[in-house]
Amino acid sequence: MKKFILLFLFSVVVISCGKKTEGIEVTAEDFHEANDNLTKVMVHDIFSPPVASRVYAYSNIAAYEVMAKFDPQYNSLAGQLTDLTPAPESTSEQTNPEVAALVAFYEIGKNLVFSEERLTVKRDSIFNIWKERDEKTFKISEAYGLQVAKHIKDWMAKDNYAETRTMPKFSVHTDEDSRWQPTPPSYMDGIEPHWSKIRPFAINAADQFKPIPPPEFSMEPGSRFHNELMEVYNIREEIARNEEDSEKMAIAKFWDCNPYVSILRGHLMFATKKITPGGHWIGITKIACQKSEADFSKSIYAYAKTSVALADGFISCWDEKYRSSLVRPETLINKYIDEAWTSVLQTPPFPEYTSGHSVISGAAAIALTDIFGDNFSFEDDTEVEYGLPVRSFRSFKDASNEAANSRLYGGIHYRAAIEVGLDQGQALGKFVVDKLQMANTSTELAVK
Amino acid sequence: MLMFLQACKKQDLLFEEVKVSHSNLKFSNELNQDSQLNIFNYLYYYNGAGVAAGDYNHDGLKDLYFTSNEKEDRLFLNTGNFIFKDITTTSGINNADGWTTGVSNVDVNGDGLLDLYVCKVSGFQKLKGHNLLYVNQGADENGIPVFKEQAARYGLDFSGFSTQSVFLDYDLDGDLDMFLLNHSVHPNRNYGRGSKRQSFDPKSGDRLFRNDNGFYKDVCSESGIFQGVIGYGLGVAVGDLNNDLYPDIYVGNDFFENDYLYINQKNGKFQDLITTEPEKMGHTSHFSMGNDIADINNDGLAEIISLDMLPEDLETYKTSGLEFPYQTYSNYLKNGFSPQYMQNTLHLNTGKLNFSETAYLSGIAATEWSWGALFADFDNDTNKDLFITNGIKGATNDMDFIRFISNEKIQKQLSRGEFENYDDLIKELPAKKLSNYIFRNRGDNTFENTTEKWLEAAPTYSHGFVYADLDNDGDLDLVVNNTDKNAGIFKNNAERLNRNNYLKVNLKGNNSNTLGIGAKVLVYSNGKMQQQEHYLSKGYLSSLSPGVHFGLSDHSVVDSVKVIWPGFLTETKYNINANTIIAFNIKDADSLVYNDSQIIPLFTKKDSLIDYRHVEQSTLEFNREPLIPFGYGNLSPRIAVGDINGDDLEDLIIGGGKTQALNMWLQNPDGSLEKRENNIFKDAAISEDIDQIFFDVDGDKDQDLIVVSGGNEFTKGKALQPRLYINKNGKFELDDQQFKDLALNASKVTSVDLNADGAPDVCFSANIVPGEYGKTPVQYLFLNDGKGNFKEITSQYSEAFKKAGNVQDIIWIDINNDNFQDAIVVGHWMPISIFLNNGKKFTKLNAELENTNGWWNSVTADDFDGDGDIDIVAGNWGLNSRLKASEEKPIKLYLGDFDGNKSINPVVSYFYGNKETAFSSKDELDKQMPFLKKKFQTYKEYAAADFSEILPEEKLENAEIKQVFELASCYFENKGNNTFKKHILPFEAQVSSIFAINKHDYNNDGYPDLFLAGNNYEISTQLGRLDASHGTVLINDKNDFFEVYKGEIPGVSGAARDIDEICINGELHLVISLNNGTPVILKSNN
Repeated sequence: MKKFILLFLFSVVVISCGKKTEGIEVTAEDFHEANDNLTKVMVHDIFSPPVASRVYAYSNIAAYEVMAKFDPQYNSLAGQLTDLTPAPESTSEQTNPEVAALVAFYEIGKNLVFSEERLTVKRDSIFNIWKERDEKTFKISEAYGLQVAKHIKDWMAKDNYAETRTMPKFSVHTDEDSRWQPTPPSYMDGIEPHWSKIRPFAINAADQFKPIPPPEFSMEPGSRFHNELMEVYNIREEIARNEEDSEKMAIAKFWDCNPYVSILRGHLMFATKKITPGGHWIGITKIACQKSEADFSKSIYAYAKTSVALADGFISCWDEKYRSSLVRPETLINKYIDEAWTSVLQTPPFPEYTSGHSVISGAAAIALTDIFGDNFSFEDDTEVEYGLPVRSFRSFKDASNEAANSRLYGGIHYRAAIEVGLDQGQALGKFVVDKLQMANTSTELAVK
Repeated sequence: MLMFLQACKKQDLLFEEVKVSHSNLKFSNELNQDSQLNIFNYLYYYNGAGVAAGDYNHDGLKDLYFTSNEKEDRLFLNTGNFIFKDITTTSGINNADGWTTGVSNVDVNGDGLLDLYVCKVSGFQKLKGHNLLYVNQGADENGIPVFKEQAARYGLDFSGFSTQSVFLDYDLDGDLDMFLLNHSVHPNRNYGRGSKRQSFDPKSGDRLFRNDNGFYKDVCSESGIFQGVIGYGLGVAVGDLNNDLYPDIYVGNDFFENDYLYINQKNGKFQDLITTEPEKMGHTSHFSMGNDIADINNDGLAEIISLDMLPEDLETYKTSGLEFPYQTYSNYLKNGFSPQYMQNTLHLNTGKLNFSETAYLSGIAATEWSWGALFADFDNDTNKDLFITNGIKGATNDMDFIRFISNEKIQKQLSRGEFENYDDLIKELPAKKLSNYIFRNRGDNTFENTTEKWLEAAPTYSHGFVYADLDNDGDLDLVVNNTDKNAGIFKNNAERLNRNNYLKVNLKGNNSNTLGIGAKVLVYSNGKMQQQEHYLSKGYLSSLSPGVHFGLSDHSVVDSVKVIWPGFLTETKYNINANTIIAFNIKDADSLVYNDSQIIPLFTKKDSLIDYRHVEQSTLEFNREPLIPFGYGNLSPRIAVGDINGDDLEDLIIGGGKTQALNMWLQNPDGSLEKRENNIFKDAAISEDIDQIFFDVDGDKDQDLIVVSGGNEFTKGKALQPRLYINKNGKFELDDQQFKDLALNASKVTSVDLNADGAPDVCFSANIVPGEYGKTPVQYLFLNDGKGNFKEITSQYSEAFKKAGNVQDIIWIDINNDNFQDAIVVGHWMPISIFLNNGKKFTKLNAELENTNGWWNSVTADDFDGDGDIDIVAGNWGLNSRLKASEEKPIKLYLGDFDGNKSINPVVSYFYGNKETAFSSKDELDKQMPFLKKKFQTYKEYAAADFSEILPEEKLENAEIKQVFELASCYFENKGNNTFKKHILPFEAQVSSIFAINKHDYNNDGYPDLFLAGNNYEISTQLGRLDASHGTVLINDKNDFFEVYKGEIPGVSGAARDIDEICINGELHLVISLNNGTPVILKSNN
């Protein structure tokens, strides 16, 4: 451990000295802020959870691919992620890797969000300071960052995202009770029915972690499915009895992570907007980086690995969602038990099985544990800004378990989707961390 | 002349606002900032209040009563010359608490004095109390009417969420009963099931009170009135819609709940027509507000208008919340709701309770966020005009507000669930302060927007209103209750401007109904009939003054006035001078004698002949291609008639939908039709049968059969292969060798002897390439060697024919007298096209039809005008939708890969006014072409953008463009040299799309007449649906045009697809097939 820290400090010094750009100071905080800025714009633009995960992944991979060119402790993801080839080399000694990494990050982010200006205004408020301090270095670094971004864009353009835009909407068959149908209050079409056709990042195929099928649909009392349905209903009753004192209510709300909750008041409609489940784990990544005082490179590494796990998690989960196309509890409860029943959380607009939050939380927790170690306790204040409290967790897995359970408490998932979803995500996360050789052994050892 | 008129510069306006400084009428419906209510906790907080006009003190001048939602109702005495006096405090009116809605005039105790019934919201939040009945005690020594609140004494102290009351004699027992319209505050996040309307909610459910010896008894449980919690009743109107002299009731419900049309069953019960016979009304308004019942075309049948909130302004439209996507909409139909669209609806009464909704064609579909509508003859020209109030203080359907409440402080409050203090959020709600609308009735079922001509248009939030002749000068003035603005008094200057004549009719009923409410008044002058029913609660939350007003144009004498009183009593008076008041008293009336007319109708319905229902699968086309304006999945079935078994009786075949087999009936000698099951047809049930024909393929003198399929369900394979069935002694056998490599989404199959060799050849028409909207499919011609062997020769005959377009219909007729059959081809995005056949090749005829591109569905041809050449009639989309098209302002289809993902986006645009605009919503376009979402981040930016910014020229470089110049169904008159002159068919032929045309000389006058049928439900929900046709008969006027047959024909309601003739017992019958419905069979009576 000591040995590493020395080595680590040493290398930082070496890199800093080599830069000869005393004017420009880039810290890990700048990268955290970059991810925060991206999150904010995505909240404004209302990105659905799977699409948001794609944005985080490409932006952070772009930054990582710049960083890995300079920092010998990290290996490029070229050849490790599907179809990713090595980025061009920097031709100038004067390139500031941190600046270039941030340029690449923002360039990809800008390309993917809708409200570009909201992102570039924040970007430029930092970039302009650096440019003023050392314009030459900044420009050289910027040029290289854009070069890598271009490389990533070319790769990104072939991930089938554009093609999936014109694919058919998901067709609903309301005659079959077991099948998913749009839910109140907005009755939105099923979101991203073709997400399984998006090229995966690290996993081999969308169905590589295909879960077991959900419990057989049955409205027969005593059947497993019916029991699980009644569990959702009964938890809601329990929460209603305890109202605001309910811990389950607190957990459900904490992990809601629904980017678009429609509120209807008569003719009046409006939406409350929050970060996505992936965004929440990006937030936790920041907390872990800060708590462990991770440097710039390690922070990028943490974001890149976590965002790959998240993005693949969504691809895997969405593959199953539109395969099983299982009905949400709210639909069945409204139809068979109580027409006025509402879930604590608003039912998100896609099929039930498996639980997206469970899958991606499982995957992200594995990735973060791999980077920061198990039993890494932390205070999760990610969504304080969105009006939510701080919650404490003993470990990433602890948090992911709670995130998964929150879907049951929130009345939007049956137990099977949570338990199987968590397994699915953990298996996927393990595969991702085993496959991706990102940090060199010394770093890995040091953490362990 | 009055002082204020001289001072006014706007002397040419029909309506001139009387200033408060002149009138002294100071009333504004101010909302109370200190109350606990707001738009968040009471969804009808901005719905406004009403007004009643009536002569409460019997001085010959009509006084005005205004309700105020949260403050004090006010009563103003009319002192003449548009000067008013506030007498609220001295009159005993004291209604300043709680929440007040509608007001009705009534003489509840038969003393001849006008009483007032006021509706309240009670039992909600902190609102207490009950509805109020102010009984008129007579005028005091100063001429001030004095009122006493006595609701409880009459059983009218209802406590709940009342909107408005209507007094009527529904059981014709001579006294006045009352229908009470209530609304709901039920949170509507979940649209639930329509069956909920069957349950009972004590506060929201509507009520019917029967007058039992002066006491009002709630008789809802036995009357068939819906009383569910989903009844968001905002409008109610009463009128006799089926001319049985029993009053019917129309209720407009907000949101997804159906409107109700209660038909009086004449036994104390009502039955809702919309749930029991949905095809009769078609669609209704979605967010129904105020409504009215009136005979707008003077045909003796009363129409219904119901208001909604469709913006006329394009930018408001594009920034407003729109209808559900097709799939969600289909689900809510399945959940027990009727089709409803955000638009004003005008249901023209075509008799037998068949209504044609023509608001678009009539020009009144979009009047912004609207509240009250009343038909009245404002210019005294004998046609009832239309005034509509609108405006809302907080428009809650603004998409930018919904998605991007930008203020982060508010967003944070919302995320924290702090829904207590809404002030900040309410401030962000866009206000829609708008000019009211007024329309002149042109007398032909259409209206001219005369807002600019007739009013000094000013933005207001206007709600309840009435018309009343306040200065007794023979025209109708207007009184409007505004929110946050003084009430509007508008003097009608018709007496000065157009000097049209008028007639007023006063009614004196019996002691239990002194006002003669429910009387029907018919005025006959100069060969014209006008009709009105005497109901006072009308429009929105408001009540008219008793008495009936008619405009007479320049008619100086009225031939007769007939009054039909409730309970079948009538009196007619003759030769009455115009510009007078004529009084009728029920004491002078006699029993009504029915004179049954013995007119034999053209057609009689013969429903029992076959028992079959075509079943259509719900379409997925709007899921696959969300940008398309309409689908192609509902074009089946067509009919084939021929003698299958050689017994000289015509047999019948009707196609089946996907998974339904072809159906065959053999005619028995007694004229009955016997269904024959046939396994060979069942084998092909998966195909959606589109068309089939009988013809002798192999020269053995019997009827063989070819069936073609389509439906936009399959892209290739057997399900799209034409099937040839060879007739072997009356039994069909499949010949699977012919056409075995062919697959087409067919629209039609025809047989024609192309080369005049005596062997019938065959033509397959195709309308689409499945799944690729707009792409041009291939048409096919096959030559028959006489033994039933077919060979494709399309290219040899004509490349142009092969690529003729998205063909929907084709007929073969020798148009140039060379003994070869020529083709008249019609379809979508293409002109009426004529191909001349010389037996070897086709040449396209230059017939001056080049710019007739339409959405044509059907065509027929004959020498309609008897001048020896062939004329054409073609059925189009019709003129009754949001879309308009002309050569200068076409509907355009852009087919191109606009987002570079190697798939074609079909983008449809149309002109709205002078602006080309995309038909699809921003949300749909964004999803298909994400670059647009980046380009237009708010709905406002998108709405303001030119079409050229949405699809800029560089994106259009490689795009294919198709166009539509004409949407009307037309008659093309052959000018003698095979060039054609276009005539637009009459109004009744434009109310819907025409898919089927039968031509036959129905009246035996030697000239072919027409039977038109159609409708289309498979249309993007943003366009609504075309359901207004119940079948139209056009009689040939022998002078190059057609007249609409005005007699009753049995309704052909539903999506009609084909009409064919079959001879049964020697008599002509028309078989009309319906998509997803049971065929209609009509016997011709001539």
